[in-house]
Order: sequence, then C-alpha cells, then structure tokens
Amino acid sequence: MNSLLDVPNKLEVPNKLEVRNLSVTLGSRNNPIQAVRGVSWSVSAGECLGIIGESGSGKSISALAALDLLPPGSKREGEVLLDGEPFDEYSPAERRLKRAKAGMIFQEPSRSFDPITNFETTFRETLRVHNPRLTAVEARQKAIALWQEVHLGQPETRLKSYPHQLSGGMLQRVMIALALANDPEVLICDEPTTALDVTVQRQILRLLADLKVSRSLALVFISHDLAVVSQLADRLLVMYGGLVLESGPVHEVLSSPASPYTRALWSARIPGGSHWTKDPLQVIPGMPPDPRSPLKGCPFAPRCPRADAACASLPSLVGLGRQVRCHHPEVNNTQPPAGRGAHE
Amino acid sequence: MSSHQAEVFMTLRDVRKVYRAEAGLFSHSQREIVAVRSVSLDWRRGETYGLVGESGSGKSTLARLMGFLEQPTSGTLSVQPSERPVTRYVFQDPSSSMDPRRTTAQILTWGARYQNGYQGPRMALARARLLMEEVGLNPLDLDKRPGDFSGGQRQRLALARALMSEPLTLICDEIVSALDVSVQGQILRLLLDLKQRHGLGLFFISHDLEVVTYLSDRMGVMYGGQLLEEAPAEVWARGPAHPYSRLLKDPHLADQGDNYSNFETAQTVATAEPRGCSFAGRCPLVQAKCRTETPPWKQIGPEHRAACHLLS
Repeated sequence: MNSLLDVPNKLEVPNKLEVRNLSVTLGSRNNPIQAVRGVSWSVSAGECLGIIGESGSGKSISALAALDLLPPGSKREGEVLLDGEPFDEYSPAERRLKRAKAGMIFQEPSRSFDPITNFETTFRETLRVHNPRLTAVEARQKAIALWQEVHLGQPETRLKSYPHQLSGGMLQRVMIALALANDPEVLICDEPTTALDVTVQRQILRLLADLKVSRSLALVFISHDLAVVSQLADRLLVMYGGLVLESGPVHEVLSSPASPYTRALWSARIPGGSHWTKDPLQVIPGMPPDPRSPLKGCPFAPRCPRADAACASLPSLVGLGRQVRCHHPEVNNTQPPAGRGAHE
Repeated sequence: MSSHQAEVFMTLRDVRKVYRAEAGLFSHSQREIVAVRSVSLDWRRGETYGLVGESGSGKSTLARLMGFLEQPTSGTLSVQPSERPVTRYVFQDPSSSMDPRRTTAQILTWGARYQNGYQGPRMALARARLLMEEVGLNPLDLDKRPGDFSGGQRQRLALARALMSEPLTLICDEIVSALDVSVQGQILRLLLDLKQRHGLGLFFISHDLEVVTYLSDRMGVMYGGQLLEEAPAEVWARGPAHPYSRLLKDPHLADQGDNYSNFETAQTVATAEPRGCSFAGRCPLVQAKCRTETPPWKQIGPEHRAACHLLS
C-alpha cells in the first residue's frame, strides 16, 4: 500500500499514474467553473483506487484530466505522471501514443460505440492506432483473444455483430476488451456499472477484479456508490466540491471515517431489510455545493454537524497514507460507523 | 407493518400488456412485445407495495397500467369507488416531466381545474402554497421555473404536484434513482412524512433492493413480464424463495453457479408468445417443464407466495 508521500515505498512500487495538485477550470472565460481544486492521487500496478463523490464533486473530471481528455476550452494545472514520466513534456502526437498505456471505460457502453460499425472493424481500428501494419487477420485473432479474456462467448460469430445486438452487460465487456486492446497498464473506469442491472453489475465487478490481478492493472474506479466501490477498491479517495476530503485504505476509511462527510455518507445508506417504522432514516441535510460558486471554507461545512466558525477557512489535507481535510476530524474512533448493514 | 386486515383497494387479474413493435414505414413486421404477461395482485388501502426487477422486467409498464396511463391488452384492473382521485404518478426524472417554460405556480395548479370540486384559481394557489411548504420548498418560489431548482428540489415539486388533487395513492417510479446519494435520503424521508400525513398508499418501483425492502409493507419481484414472488418485505429480505429472487438478493451466487453467470442468455424481451417461466433461460435449477408450462403459485408462508415449479 503506497501513498503519495511515502517516499521509500514509492521507489519500490512505482506509480503507474499519478496526478499532483491537479486543478481544472471548465467553461467559458466569463463563467469559469472550478471543477477540480488541487487534487493529488496515484495508483500502482495491481492496485485499485476508488474515487467516490456525488455529481459535481470533480471525480470524473480529475480522471479525464489525467488522460488529457478534457473538453476543449478547459484549463488544467498541476502535474500528471504516466509511468513516472511527466505527461506535459510530450508533444500532442507523442501524448496520443503514450496514452495507450491507459485505457478508459465509461458509464454507458451503448453511447460509446459507433452504432453502424461492427465490432471487428472497431477492434481493428483501435489495434491499428498503435500498430498500423497489423493485417486484418492478425487484428481479428487479437480481437478474438480479447473477447475470450473478458469471457464473451462465440467471438468468431459475435465479432460481426453491431452494438444494438448486445445487452448492456455484454457491451460493457466489449468496452473493457477494447480498452485492453493495446495492453494498457492503467484502466480508468468511470461509473462502469451504474447503468447496469444488479446481477450484471456483480459480474462486471468480478471481471475487473480478475483483470486487476491477471494483468496487474492499475485500476481507477470512479463511482457515487460506496457499497460498489468498497467491493473492488484497495484505497479510497472521497471527493466533495472539487476537493479530496479523505483518503486511505478502504477498510480503514469505512470502519473509522475521519471526515464527517464520509461518515454521513456511510451512515445514510438505506437500511434495507428493516422496515422504516423500526429504523429511522439517517439523512444528510442540505444540498451538494454548486461548483459555480465554491465556498471559501470547507465545502461540506453548510451540511456538517461538526461545523463551527473555524470551518469558514479551508482546512488543508493532512496525514500520510491516511489523509483527511477537516478542522474537526473524528479521532481515536475505532467503533464502526453508526450505519447498518455489513460491509462486504 | 403488514396490513392484514386492510381492505383491497385495487385488484389486478391476469393483466397483460402487449405492444406492437414499430418496425418502420415500409416494414410488414407484426412483431409484438409482451411487456406484462399475466399479472394478478391486490393492492390494499394505505399499503406500500414495492416492486423490484431489472430493466425490461415490465415493472414500469405495470405501474403505468395501474396509474391509468395505459390500457391493459387483456385482463381486468378494478378499483374501489372513492371520493378522492385514485392515484397520481410520480416520474423518475423530474426535469423531463415538467414544462420548463411554466412557472411553479402554473405547474402545480394546471391540473386542478379539471378536478371535481374545483374552487377557482385562488383556492388552487392557496393549496399550492401550502404544499410547497409541506414538501420543504419556499412558497415565495412559486414564480420560479423548473430550471431554477436543483434535482432534489424538482422531485419535491413533483411530489407537491402529485398531491394537489389529494389522491389516495402515489405511484413512484424510480423517483430517487436520478438523485445524488446524499439527496436520496431526504426525498425518501419526505415521502414517508407525506405518506403518514395524508394516509397515502404507495406503489414503489425501484431496482434498488435496499430502498424497496426498507419502504415497503409488501413487495413483488418481476422478471420478463411475470410476477415471480410476492411477500411481506421483511420476510422477503430474510429469505427469498424463488431462484431469481435469491440471485437478486445475493448477486454473489452469480460467481458460483455456471448457469447464473450465463450472461449470454440475459433477459431478452419476449417477442413471440412466451411460454413457461420467464426465468427458465438463466435458472440454475431449470427443468424441462419450466420451459413449457407456466409455473403455478405456491404458498411459502403467510402472505408469501412464489411461482416456481421447483418449490413445494
């Protein structure tokens, strides 16, 4: 388990992808939105970093920024290191090639494929980006191998099919296979299971967990669902209002959250299986912050039960390995959180 | 909190809904999609009935039938006569179920004039003001438009709109799925408050088992247009009986059984006249008759029944 500031550890396990003090401004000059405000994280081979946050927390934007995939007009500050090398020093053409080290899969697989191109062509195009001399036969063989790796049956016939002929779960598997086409070392998954049914969701998580080990992938798993993230992640990064509020090993963060936001999120899970008349609902009051008008102080302060005058200034992120950004963190807390339901 | 003694308020018997697939202008296709195969259920007065199922299971179609937004192709759906409107439908996405050009006041009072006992715009506006306060919105915001509200606030507004005509029940179709995690709880708590204050019956549809088992008195499980199991929510959460329910409750099962993890045969929309059990294609315990004969209902316990050939 290496952390950002653990220098000796870092030398042993080099980070596959690392962002340092990343800030992203989206939107026009007249109406800028500070989507990410100084975020640092890293992920090494065979490890899964879970990034959790609500909409507008900056969790997806920080991952897009790491791969240089931001929409035009947005501004990025801070450093991105891919396999230890600073990304910004390359020319745009070189970046495009270097980016093959990282693959990305998105929330809605049905929107990520060209509806009038069959899978064989899609795979051939992708494979040829980094290997232009690849023959059609070789590309086909490679595609079949990839399909088998993600446990999709009948690749020989199915490769000729089109996106609308597969179900959501199968498409997400194709998406993963495509992301693996050029042997990436990093795989970023942006809400990969959110649009899927519960039973299918479980299968995709299983597949990602297997690939993490078999390919020793550095996995970045972005989600709004703590229960899903906790099944896969080794380390957890909790984002809110464009900032990291807490990070650390997943079981530590969930068993004794230091940030009141993490605790509130974990306790506010719906106590399924118990009737509402017996078990009142824990509710986080207030609304998520508006990224268009960020607060000067702690972004969670207006909703926080522990907030006081000190929270009008922004706390800094402190700690090694286990980090928290809070003026009043919960300390010496070994009790499991008040939320019900076992953590799997 | 099961309501054993409560009277049945809405009865569905062998309700079926078939859609004709739109196949394009010059096509001669007569493809039919059976969205709801044959569903019978009783909804009791004041009861919260939860319905779970994956996408394509027909749960939303069933809800639309119960909300009188669609007519069943066959079967009967009967309602006890009542003074108040029977039900109002609350949609998943409040931003697409409200006219963005209308003010909040217009949105709330628009339907009122078509109601029995309409007492004029002033009374309607007074009730709108009252309801705004009740759902936790500022009555001064009545001249704002839907775009001025956040997702959670819009869902509050949708609940206020549904309550304008004082219905007996609400049909809630995935009403918290589009909301942020920290806001979902607020809306659910509001829904429970409103239920208690107005004595509402709820028909609550979600793919989220935690939410359904927490909110419901009784619940049903749907798959491929069929209702496969029905039980008091707490009983179901402790021990689902149908093989599909068990998979839904514990997705880890998919890691072990070969058949459970058989995503190739994932739920397909029934286009021909479907026969047998809708889950037969994925069921690890499937037998020959599951594919040909519709499974009969078996009584598992009090108020707990499941449709499966293999249960005794």
